[in-house]
Amino acid sequence: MEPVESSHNSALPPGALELAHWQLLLGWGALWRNPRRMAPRLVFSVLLLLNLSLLIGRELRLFQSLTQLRLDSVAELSFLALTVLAVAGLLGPSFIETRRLRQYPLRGRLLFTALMISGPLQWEALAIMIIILPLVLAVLWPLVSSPWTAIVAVGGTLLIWWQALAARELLWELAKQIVHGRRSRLLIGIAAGLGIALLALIVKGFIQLLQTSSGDWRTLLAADYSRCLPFLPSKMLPALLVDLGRGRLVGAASHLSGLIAWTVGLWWVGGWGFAHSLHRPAASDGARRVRRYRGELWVSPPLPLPVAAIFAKEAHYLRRDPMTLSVWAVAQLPVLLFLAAGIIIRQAAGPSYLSPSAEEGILYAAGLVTAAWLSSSIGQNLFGMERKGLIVLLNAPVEQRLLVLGKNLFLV
Amino acid sequence: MNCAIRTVELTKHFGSVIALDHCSIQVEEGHFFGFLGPNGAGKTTFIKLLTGQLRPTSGQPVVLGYDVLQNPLEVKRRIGLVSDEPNLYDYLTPREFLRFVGRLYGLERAEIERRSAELLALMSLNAKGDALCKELSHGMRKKLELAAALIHDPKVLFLDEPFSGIDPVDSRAIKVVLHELTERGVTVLMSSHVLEIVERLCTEIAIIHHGHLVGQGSVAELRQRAVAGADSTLEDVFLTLVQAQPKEGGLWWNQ
Repeated sequence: MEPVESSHNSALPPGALELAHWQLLLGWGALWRNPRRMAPRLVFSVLLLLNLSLLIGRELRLFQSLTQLRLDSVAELSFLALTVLAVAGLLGPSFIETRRLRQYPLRGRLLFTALMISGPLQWEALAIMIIILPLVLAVLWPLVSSPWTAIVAVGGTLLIWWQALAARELLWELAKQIVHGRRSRLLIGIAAGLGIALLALIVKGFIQLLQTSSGDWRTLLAADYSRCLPFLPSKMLPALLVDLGRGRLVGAASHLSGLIAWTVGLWWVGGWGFAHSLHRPAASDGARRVRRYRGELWVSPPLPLPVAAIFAKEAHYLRRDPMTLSVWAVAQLPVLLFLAAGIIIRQAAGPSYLSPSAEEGILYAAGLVTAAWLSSSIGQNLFGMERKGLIVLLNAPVEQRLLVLGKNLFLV
Repeated sequence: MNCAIRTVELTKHFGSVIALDHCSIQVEEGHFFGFLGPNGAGKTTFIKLLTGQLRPTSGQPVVLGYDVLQNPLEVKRRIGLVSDEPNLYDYLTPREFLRFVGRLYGLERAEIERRSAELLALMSLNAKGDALCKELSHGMRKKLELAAALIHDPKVLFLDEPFSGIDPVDSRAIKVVLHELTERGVTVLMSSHVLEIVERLCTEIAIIHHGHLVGQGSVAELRQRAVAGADSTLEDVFLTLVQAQPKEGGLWWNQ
C-alpha cells in the first residue's frame, strides 16, 4: 500500500484536527446547557463548523488517496452538495413535523430533531467505535514517523470513543428532559458494552500472545478468529462467503464461529437488556418466580412487544405512505454510493482487489458499515415522520430506548 | 376512598405567560370530574401536566399514588388519554391502530383481538375497521382515540374535549360507556366546553380561569360559592365565577 501523504500536507500534527473537533463539540454541548451564554456558543459553533470543514476536506483527500479514486473538483463539489441536500432534505421535514411539540421551546424541538437523527442503538455505536481503533491504526500506520504521533493517534481515537459515549448520554439526558421519561438504562447498557469490548480486547491480546509463541494451525485459526472478532456480524457473513469462494476453509471456519459468537452474544445481551420488558412479573411475585422468568429468556421471543409493534407499524407505513417510502429510499443513498465506489475501485484495481492489502479491506468494510449506520440513523430515527402518532408513542409506557430500537430494527 | 388524582400547588409558566398558577385539586377514585374554563384558561395544560406530557414549573402532580415526575411510566401504564385533537396514524386501519396501541401497552395478542373487536363494535366503527384512519371523519377519529385509550383497561381516564365533533347518537353511546366505567371504579377527568354534558355527567367540577382555580365541588357547592339561586344553571354559575360580562350591542352592522 502506498504511503498516504495527506496528513503531511497539513502544517498541523496528525490527530490535532480530531482532538480539536471533539473538544469543541464537547464544549459546545456543555454551553448548550446554559442558554444564556449566547456569545461563546456562537464562537464555538463557528469554530466547530470551520474545524468540521477542514476535517471533511482532509478525509476526502485521504479517502481518494487510499482508494485511488480520483474525483475532479466538479464531482467532488457535486458529491458534497448532494450530501448537504440529502441531509437538509431529511432534517427539514423532520423538524417541521415536530410542530406537534410546539408547546416546547424552539431549542427543545431542534434538539429533539437532532437526537432523532443521531441516536443509533448503543450496541451499534459501540461496534462502530470498536471498528474505529483498528481502522485508525491501519490508516495512520504508514504515516507514523515518531512514537508521539502514534500516541496522539491512539489517544485521539480513545478520546473520540469516550466523548461519543458522553455526547450520547448528554443527548439522552436532554431527550429525557424533553419527554419527561424515567431515567433510561443507558448507563447499565454502556457498562455492559464496555465490559464486552474489554473482554474482546483481552481475548484478542491473549490469542496474539499465543501466536507469537508457536505457529501451528490452531494458533493461525485463533489469530484469524481474533482478527474478525471486533467486527460487526454484517461483516462476518460476506467474509465467510468470500473465504468459501476462495477455498480458505480456515478463514471460513473462523468467520462462521465469529458470526455464531456475535449472534449468541447479541441475543444474550439483548435478552438481558430487555428482561424487564419481556416479562413483567407482578410486584407480589417472589424473587424465585422472577429468576424463573429470567431463565426463560433463552426461549422467549427476541423482541419486546413495543418494539415488535413499532416494527409492524413501520412495515405498514412503508407499503402505504409515499413520504416514508421516499425517505427510506433516500436513506439508502450512502450505501449505494459506497457500493458504487467499490465497483469503480474493483474495475480499476482488477483481480488484485482487496487481496494484497488488509488495510484497504478494513477501510472499505468499515466505510460500508459506517454508510449503513448513517443511513439507518438518518432514515429510521426520523421521529418527525411519525407526525401525529408521535404523541401516541410519547404517551405510551415505553422507554425511549425501545422506541429508537424499534425504529432502527426495521431497517436492519 | 382513595385519592386517584392529586395536585399540590401545580404551576406552569410558558416564558412570561402563567398558564397555571398554584392549582391544587383532589379527585377520589371512581369520580367523574369535570374541568371547566374559558378558552386559554389552562385546562389542556393541566391535563398535559398530569399525563407527563409537560413538566411543571413547580408543584407536584400525583396520579394513583405515583408522582408523575418520578414514575412517568408507572403512571402511563395506568391511564388513558383522549386529546383535544385525535392523534392517530393516518396510514393504519382502526383495527391495526388498536393492535399497535395494545402491543405498546404489553397486551397479549389474543387479548388485543378480543378487546379490539368489542371496542370497535361499541364505538360503531366495525364497518370502518379496515379503512385507513385518514379516511375517517373527525368524530370517528375521536371515537377511535377513545377506544385506544380504553384498550388497556386504564384506572384513570383523561378526556380533553371528548365530545367535540361527535354526533348525538355517538355522543349518547360514549356517555353510557363513560358512566359504566365510573361505576366500575374508573376515575374520569374531563375538560369540556359543553356545560350541559358536564352538569349531567360529573360528580364534581372544577372551574379554572386565567390559570387560577376559582371553584371546586359539586354543582350545588359551586352554586353556593357563586351565591346563585337553586334554579340557576351551571352556565350561570360558571359565568359568575369567571366574572364574564355578556357582550352588549352585538354586531354593529346588524343594528
